[in-house]
Amino acid sequence: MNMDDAVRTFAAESRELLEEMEAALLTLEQSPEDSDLINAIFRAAHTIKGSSGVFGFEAVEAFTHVAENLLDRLRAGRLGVSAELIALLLACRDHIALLVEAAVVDEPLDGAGQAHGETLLTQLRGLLDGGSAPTSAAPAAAASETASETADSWSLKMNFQPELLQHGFDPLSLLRYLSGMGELVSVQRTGVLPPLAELDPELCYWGIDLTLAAEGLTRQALESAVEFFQEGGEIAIQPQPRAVELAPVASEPAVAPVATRAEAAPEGGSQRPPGWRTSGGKSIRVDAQKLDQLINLVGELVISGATTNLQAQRLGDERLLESMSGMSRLVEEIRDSALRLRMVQIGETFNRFQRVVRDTAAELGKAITLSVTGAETELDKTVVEKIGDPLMHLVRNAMDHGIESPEERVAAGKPSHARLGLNAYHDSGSIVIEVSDDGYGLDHRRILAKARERGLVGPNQQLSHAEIERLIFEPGFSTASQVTNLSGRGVGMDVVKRNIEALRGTVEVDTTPGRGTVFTIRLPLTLAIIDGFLVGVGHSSYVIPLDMVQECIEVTEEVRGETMSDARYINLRGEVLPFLRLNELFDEQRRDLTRENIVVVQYAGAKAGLVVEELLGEFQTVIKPLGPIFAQLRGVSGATILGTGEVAVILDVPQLVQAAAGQAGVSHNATVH
Amino acid sequence: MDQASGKLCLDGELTIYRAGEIKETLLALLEGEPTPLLDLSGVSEIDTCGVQLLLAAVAEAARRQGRLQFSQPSAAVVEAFRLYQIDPAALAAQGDAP
Amino acid sequence: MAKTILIVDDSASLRQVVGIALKGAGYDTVEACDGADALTKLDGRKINLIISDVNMPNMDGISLVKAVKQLPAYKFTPIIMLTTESQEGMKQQGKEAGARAWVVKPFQPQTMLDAVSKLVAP
Repeated sequence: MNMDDAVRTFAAESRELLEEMEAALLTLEQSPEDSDLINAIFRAAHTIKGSSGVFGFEAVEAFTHVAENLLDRLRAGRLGVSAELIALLLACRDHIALLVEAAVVDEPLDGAGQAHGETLLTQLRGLLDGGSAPTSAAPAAAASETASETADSWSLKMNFQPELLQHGFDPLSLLRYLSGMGELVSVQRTGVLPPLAELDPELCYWGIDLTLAAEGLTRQALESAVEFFQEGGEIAIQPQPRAVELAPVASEPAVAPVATRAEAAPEGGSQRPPGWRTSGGKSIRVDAQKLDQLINLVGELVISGATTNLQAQRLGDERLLESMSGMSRLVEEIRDSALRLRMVQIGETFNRFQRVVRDTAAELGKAITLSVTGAETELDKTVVEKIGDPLMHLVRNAMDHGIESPEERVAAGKPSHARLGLNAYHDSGSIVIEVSDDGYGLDHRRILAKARERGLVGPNQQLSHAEIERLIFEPGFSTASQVTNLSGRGVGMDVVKRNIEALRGTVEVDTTPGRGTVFTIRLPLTLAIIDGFLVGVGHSSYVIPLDMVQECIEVTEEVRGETMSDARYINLRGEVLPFLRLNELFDEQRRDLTRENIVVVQYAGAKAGLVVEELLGEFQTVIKPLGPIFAQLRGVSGATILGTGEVAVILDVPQLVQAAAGQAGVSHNATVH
Repeated sequence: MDQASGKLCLDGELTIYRAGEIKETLLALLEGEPTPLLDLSGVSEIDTCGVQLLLAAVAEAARRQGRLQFSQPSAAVVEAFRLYQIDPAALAAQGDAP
Repeated sequence: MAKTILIVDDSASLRQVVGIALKGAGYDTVEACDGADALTKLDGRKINLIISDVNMPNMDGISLVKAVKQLPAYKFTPIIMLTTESQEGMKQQGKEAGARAWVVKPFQPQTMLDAVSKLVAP
């Protein structure tokens, strides 16, 4: 940082202020009563005057000063807004702009410019003379007639206000400053310190009498040195014949400092001062509806972009394709920026649980600490609004049934304070929210026994631990004894699952007996737009969310051999891959019996193949939610409109992956209907 | 801090922000030991509040027929005493501030 | 250790010029564009003196002084207010809020350096 940088800053800042000033002046013409506008105009002139003065740009400073005086009068209501006044002020603004540009390149204004400035000044002064304004005179020089008085030695007798130190003014600093001006021949403290026990340690009890010697020291220099210490105190400055030593004055009692604390009491109590804003104006509030409207429009733009793209491809004009690809990139960026506008941090939602955990723990007689991590993770506001209830359920559930009483914990060798964790992070196009506790963990045997009792699992059916854990989300898993509880483990878990699935999310549970349980919720970052992969089945098109597509495989003779058989899985490089035929699933008449492709999709660690006829490529799309009639439709999460105007169904990959896995292992009939 | 043996180290800022706390510390010190040693080697900053407190403590020790001695004043303390033209040795001998 | 001065003014160029002058004399500086911004800079770091403009957006200098006087760790920080001679009424308000030192705008950078060093040596 040097002076050249600072001058550049001055130029940029002045231009900006002048633009604001112009805009405000033009608006003021429409609403002459708007004091905010007048203040803004005044402040612009004021700031330019202040900074130009510091840079020594006298021409800018002098002219702006006069304009500022007029604005001050306007601000005080001693001058009315009129068309003539606005015209004059606009002309002044333009002239200030000229002066600024001239100043930063260090060149004077040309003759015509100067003459114009004089004319404007005359007009300004004409208006100013209407009131009383003895302003432009230099004020400091008149302060003391004897300012230029010179001596080689001075005596200063200073009594200070007791509150001096509380204002941050330390006589010690003054002594330091004076010692830099000359020699401190003598320094005497005056005033009496009370006994230590009675001493108010923040008050100044001392005065100072001192003699300062330096050749040709002016009274003005001394007055200036002590200026900040004069307020409320008394400072007498006397020239001293140098040879004469000042008589000791220690015995002379100074004015007893009275602790007039009331005077210094802080004003305004503990109230926040007006205009308090912590963010310094770096964010603005926008009506959420306006944002939704913007995002809807961006959605339409995306669709219409896709249509245009399609047309361009049909025409095959290279230059058109080139400019389309540029536009597509921009549309994508606009889409992302628009969606980011609606992103909020999950921290606020998490923090609401502090109170819930505190109160519920007290109610249950348990000691539970909530630990929140990943609070800064962002997700769409519409998702945040809907995730509160499921989260609340999981949190209450963990406190009610997941966490032991302090006695049980101590007996189990755990710390008596239980830990309940809320964590969030981003993971490939999803947000992951974890609700964890360090309590009992799930009892696999009890869950299995209960599931058998409820008829959810056959008496001889063997299940893995993960499968057993998933049972708690089954409808009808809960037992009568738990229904009385507010949030019995199992009670309402199916509801939690349903709510999360309605958001195109999943919930999983992982547990270590004796160590605790983690519920993992996976949600899309936004509900509005997805990058899709378009496939053709029969006469229809389907959209698969692109971030779940792993790869596409052409069905070769070899693969077909397997797929035509009864087996519902293929061997993918040594891995067992269950698959679903979309034409069967959606009752589509096959159009092309020769070609088949498998789209390998993945969700939360599980894979499945979707057999389709055509691969139509990547496609960005806006999700149009399906009406409530389709709520029961499985395997479908929404619909969209293609560039051709056709409707395409968006596949619900999590459900399909689950269905494929289920059918490969258990039955031929897809559960997807 | 080792008040039992009548020695006290004052560390850090001896300024208005800590003036109340330091006053109590000094009072407690003199309560236990009228002739203590005050180690000022760790004082990083001192203002007029601090100087007033030190001198009031010297006076308080004298009032209790004792004597407060400063040891190893830091550069900040030495500078403040020099500017105020306070002679710590003379102070201790007089047992009073002007 | 160098003393740290907080410069509060809505003019970035003014802050820069003052900053250059103060740094040249051995001070450290921290800048804020208005009162609200200044309060975020009072975050536990040591600030030995505050220079603040009066007329600023968001939070003006008078409100800043009042706010600083409420902060236990900063309430005794000396504050130099920047004013113009046309703001005599402001000076009274500032005095009531607890401001005691004033420097009239516009000023030479050297004048500001001088004012600061009367209250806090570098």
